Amino acid sequence: MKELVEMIAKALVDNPDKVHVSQLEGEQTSILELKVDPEDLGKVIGKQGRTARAIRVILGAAGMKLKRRFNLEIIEKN
Amino acid sequence: MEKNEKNNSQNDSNPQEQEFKGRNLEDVISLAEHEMKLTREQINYEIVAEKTKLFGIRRKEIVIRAWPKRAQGENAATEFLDQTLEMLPLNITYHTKKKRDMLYIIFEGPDRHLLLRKDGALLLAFQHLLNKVSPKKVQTDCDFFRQKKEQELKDHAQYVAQRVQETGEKEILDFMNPYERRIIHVAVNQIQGITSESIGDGFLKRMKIIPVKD
Repeated sequence: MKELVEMIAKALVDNPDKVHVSQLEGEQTSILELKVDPEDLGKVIGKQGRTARAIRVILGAAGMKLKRRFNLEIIEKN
Repeated sequence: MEKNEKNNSQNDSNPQEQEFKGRNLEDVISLAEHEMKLTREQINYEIVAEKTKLFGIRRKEIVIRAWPKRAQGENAATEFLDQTLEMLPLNITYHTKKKRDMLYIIFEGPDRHLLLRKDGALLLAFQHLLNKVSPKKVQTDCDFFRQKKEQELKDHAQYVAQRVQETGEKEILDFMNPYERRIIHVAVNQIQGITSESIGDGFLKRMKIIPVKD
């Protein structure tokens, strides 16, 4: 799923080379930490969080199939 | 040859586009299949013109512009979608339709029911992201979800509008997005003496259905 989030984020931002995703594995949950250039933060969050929510919905559907929870966290501080 | 193609693609006309004319859509698509030596699943097309010439029904003419599906390197939306679907553990495929400035993406495949859960949350999530990456406007659909949804909204709007007409009391509807509100406005305004207004601000707004006072 790390690659998926990375691909989506890169498609959305102006500085794709500043996109970085790390995946932390828990027992039933994976946490995906997404870091982007501070200028691109709005691009991955979207108006009223709509873009972030859309990414989470896609992760949710993947999780249903894989019987796993995926949590997307957008890291604000660099 | 190759150089020529590159020059052409500067202004967004696709060098592999061809126009076909015929009496009806079925005829034209068959013609396109034959000429391009591809099956219709491998062809994207848009309708350029559809006209009935003067004097008689038999003179109907339809013109389409057709191009092979894979030759759409410039299409950011489908490229993005292909990549996403490849990485997702979901068994979903899609086909596209182009109409004027809109790109319609219709999903298929055994896992397509996942798209429609929670009022089409995943379907709309794809639509949102595709609109972010695509210069063209994109609308996603699956199993006539749009059509069903529109009908539901229309029915609901008219039901409430009739109640407002009878009681003369205004009613307030749930939060809706602009697309849904538009459908409600149109449906409500077909009923005499009743009108609708959106209240609040933000992407989701509630709607007020009110009797018109003269």
